Amino acid sequence: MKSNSILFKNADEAVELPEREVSDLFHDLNLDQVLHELCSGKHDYNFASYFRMPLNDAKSIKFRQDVMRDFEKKDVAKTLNDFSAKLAESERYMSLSRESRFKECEDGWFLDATLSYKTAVTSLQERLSKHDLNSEGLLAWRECLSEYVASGKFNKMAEQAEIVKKRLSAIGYTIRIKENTCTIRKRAGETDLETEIDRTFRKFQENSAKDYLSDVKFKSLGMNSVRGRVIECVAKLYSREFEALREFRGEFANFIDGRVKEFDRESQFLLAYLDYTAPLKKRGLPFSYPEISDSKSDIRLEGMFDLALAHQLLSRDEPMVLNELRLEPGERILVVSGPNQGGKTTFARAFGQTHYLAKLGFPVPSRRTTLFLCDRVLTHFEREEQIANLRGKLQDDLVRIHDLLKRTTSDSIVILNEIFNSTTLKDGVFLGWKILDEISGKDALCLFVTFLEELSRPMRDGGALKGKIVSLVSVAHPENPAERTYKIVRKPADGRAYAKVMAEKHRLTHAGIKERIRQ
Amino acid sequence: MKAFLMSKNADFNPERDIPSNSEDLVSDLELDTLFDAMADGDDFLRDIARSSVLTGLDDVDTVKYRQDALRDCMNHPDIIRTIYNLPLTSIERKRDRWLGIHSKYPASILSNAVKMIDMFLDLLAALEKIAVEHSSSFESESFSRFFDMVKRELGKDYLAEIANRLKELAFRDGVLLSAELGKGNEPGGYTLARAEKGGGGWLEKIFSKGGNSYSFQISPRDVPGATALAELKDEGVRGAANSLAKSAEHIESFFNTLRVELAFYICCLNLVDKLNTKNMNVCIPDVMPVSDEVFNCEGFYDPCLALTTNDPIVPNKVAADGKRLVMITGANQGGKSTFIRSVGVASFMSGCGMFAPADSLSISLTSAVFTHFKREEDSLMKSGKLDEELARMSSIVDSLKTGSLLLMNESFASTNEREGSEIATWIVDALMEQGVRVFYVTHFFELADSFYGRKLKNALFLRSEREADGKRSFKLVENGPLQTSFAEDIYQRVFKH
Repeated sequence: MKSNSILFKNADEAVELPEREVSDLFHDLNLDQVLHELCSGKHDYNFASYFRMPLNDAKSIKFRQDVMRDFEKKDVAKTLNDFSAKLAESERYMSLSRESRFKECEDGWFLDATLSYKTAVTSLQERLSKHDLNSEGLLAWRECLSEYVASGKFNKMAEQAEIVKKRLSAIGYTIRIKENTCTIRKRAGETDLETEIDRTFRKFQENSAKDYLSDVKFKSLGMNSVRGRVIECVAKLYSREFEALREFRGEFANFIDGRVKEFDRESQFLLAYLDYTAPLKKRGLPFSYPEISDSKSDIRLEGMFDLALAHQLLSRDEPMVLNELRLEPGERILVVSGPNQGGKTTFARAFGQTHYLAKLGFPVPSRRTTLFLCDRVLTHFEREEQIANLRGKLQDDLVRIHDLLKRTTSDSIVILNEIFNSTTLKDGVFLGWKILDEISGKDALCLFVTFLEELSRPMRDGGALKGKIVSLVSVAHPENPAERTYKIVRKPADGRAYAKVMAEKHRLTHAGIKERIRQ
Repeated sequence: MKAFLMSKNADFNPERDIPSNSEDLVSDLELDTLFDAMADGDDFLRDIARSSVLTGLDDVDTVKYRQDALRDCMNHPDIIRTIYNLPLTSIERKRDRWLGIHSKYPASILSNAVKMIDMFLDLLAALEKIAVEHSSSFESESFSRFFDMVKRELGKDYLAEIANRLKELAFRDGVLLSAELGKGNEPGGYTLARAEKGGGGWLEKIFSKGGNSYSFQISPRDVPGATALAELKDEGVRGAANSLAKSAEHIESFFNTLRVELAFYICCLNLVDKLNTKNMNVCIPDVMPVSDEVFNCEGFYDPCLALTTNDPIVPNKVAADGKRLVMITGANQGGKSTFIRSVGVASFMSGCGMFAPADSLSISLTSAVFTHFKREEDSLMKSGKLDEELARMSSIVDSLKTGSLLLMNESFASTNEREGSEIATWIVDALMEQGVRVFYVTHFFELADSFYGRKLKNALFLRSEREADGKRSFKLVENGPLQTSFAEDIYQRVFKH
């Protein structure tokens, strides 16, 4: 059986970016929130390392997108999750076996671990063979798994485990507790008092909400001296059954295959992302697999939104605003201006997220998507906390931007957010033009969020920036300027406000009321 | 065992959410007076009165179901009060004997539950006796079904069987468990067992077969061992403990439910007693579905006013069937506010299955009642009065839906007549189009006249009547708005005295 990754078309693509290179990026785009959610409850898998392995080749992205498409089929996801749960159960039993103080239980947990593993593997194989799969990656894995399940080693282990378990399950015994004496014997015709009691009191138990045992702390897993002595007595009463168990464990001590474990980790990574996006899809938010283009003018995002924000808003039942963006040939610099709190930063994040997530082979938060296969996404966002002294801060900003520009190539995407906020207006405009000139010189793609409207007007001496700049503006609500729309549209920057009328403010116009009252 | 005295197939839940505008409703309609009369000094009854009145129903069947039960209660008040005392007794006993199930250990949960059930047994027997003796004189579906259930579920034989089980659960011969091997070979699957009856004790049998059993003893100094043994016993009786505890809880909750569901009727009995001493009539209203928009009354009065005044009450007669808008105009102190309040109170009383304050009343149920009354005090300086009124209206609109009833009392009087009328017209028009019923008291001639002039079929105009001598009669008559108000009259009367 050869090695089969479902994440990487070629083994040499699994290159992890160093943490320092992505920490600002993840923080600025709120991808760290996304990653945090993906990992929640699944820290053993170390998804963060996969998350830091963006793909740089369109074919490799396609390879993973195809696997994801297979995973999106509900029954396939269910198969993989069931498999994963069963495998985790097996691992839990192994650790219980290692921790056990009683020989009978050490062997017993080992046996249960092999049984769970067997069920995990065989039912995965069985169910995968029934699924209609299309991806190269998953088809290859299915073949590899079938070979393993058919192998002699696996089969013998499975068969023996069942036989041993069956004999142990047939054991029945009674315990009598009177004062401080316990007596154990084989079961012999006692009647079931519990059922009789239950019958008498049944009618009083209908719809009973409270379970009186929920507060009771039983160590139903785990042993103590009394339970240990009970099991020793039982082992004496049924010595042959326990002997067979001991032999089984000796023979199959190493029963887990490394490839099975790796498949689980890879598939759970992809499923974690699909689980993360599922509630958003349910709300009607669109996702799509981007078409990957090598041309910078081929960017087209219809119905794009900020994934992390959408996830935060889930609990608040607030609608998410979708934005559009389409570049014309030659356009390189997107200047986003307009009122504060209008969704500019959100727009910038969504733009960056789609590009990074596309490089992970994930469906991105956008209805229809064509993206440029950039070599990297670079970000510099205004940091609130660093306001010690303005001159120092400005210098610090410029050092960081300079450093960022050194890493910028003509295939890079650069996202700058509200930098130079703390300089004077004149300085801000001056520096803004300088930076834009630099980026333009590299022919990189740039999204620049700013309150400096001047930067969106490419009229300055008609130089290098002419035709490259696109002006995008966050717009206010036409009737109520105080309300945020979070809509970013392509138009020249302006800055109008609207008057308020009392009744309109309270949405108590005739039309307003009719809209608000459910009929 | 369910009482089902408040609705055919659900327990009455006094904790359920009261409408978010309850505070406004209670103060605008002066409902506290009503609740106090229903409670007759009992805090528990007051809570029930408040929650049952405020969480009224818009379902005709359930209202009629309660009305029938109420008729039975008004015919047999003594029996109802006797039954109501049974749950009260169980509460007293539980408190006096320190009963309750609070342990975390199944063995003691079990013994506590056994004591609880033992305490309930004779109260259940007393209830059964009442059911056997009196059920034939009750006519309502609810009480007939309730008494049938009691006779069926709590027969003498069954109560005796319970007493026997309670004895067995004392475990005089030790606890016997049947067990298996669970996951990881750990002992598990314990069930409580009973040794075969006859043929000597269990221990003797074991020893006679020889070598078939193993025993061990926990030394008295082995504290962890003793704990572990107690744990094992706890696991063995957990099923029985849960059964018994749930049963004890069930019986207790049955008594609690009975208390809650009867409390409503006790409240009604209290109120009718008080209104009778004031010589006020009540009737069981004829309730109609929300969509019918029925309102037709005779001898209609505000019970809260009747309970608090010694002056003679002037009842009203109004026929507003099919009217979505009822606009009330006319002289100040002409009984307009009293009338609109009594519409609200009667809607709530009818909606929860009570009798109504009238000689006769036909009324459509409503999905919810809202009040937008002029506020005298205005602490919200910063937003301004009109702004405050609009904000209040806006939050009402958020909750309104088709079939809601909105009572407006001098709404938008905080601004001038032109502006106030204009805003009110927008609002009332839109509300009517969306199927909201509106009763509107206003002294704005412009507002009332703009609706009156349109000759709407589904609008009714009432005017507080003036007698020829200028005295108020507090009676409302069907009539359009008049351009003048009667402030001058009042001025005259007040200043001439």
